[in-house]
Amino acid sequence: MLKPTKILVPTDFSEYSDRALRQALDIARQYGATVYILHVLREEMITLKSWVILQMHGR
Amino acid sequence: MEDSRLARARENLQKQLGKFPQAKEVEVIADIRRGLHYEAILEEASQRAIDLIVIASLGQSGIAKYLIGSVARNVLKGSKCPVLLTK
Repeated sequence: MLKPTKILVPTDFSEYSDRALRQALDIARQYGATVYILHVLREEMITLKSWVILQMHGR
Repeated sequence: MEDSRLARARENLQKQLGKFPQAKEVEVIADIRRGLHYEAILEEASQRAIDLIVIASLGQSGIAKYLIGSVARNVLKGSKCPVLLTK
């Protein structure tokens, strides 16, 4: 029988992830588990700052 | 610009947690990672020795014609622990 102690909830702040978070919190409360809420920032291939630097050097 | 993205993410995490009063009765740890969504989620799961992942089957893109979005699908595929997909 699964008895969670560490629950991970990834979130993108959407309504869907609200519902996932609510479920995770309910489960955590029931089992005395810890909730890890994670947001992932997408790694941009090129940041605006480095783009500006590239543009400046190009001239 | 990087810092403002991070600050906004922190703010949004606080705001989202604020919607749920039951969060006060639970130990909650908030993390922010950079990278590909499913890879970062799986890394977090293994580094934190997570034993359950609860993830929305759809996310921001919310393309309702799909039952399971790509992030949830890849997490499910790569996870070593059980995954609860929520609707």
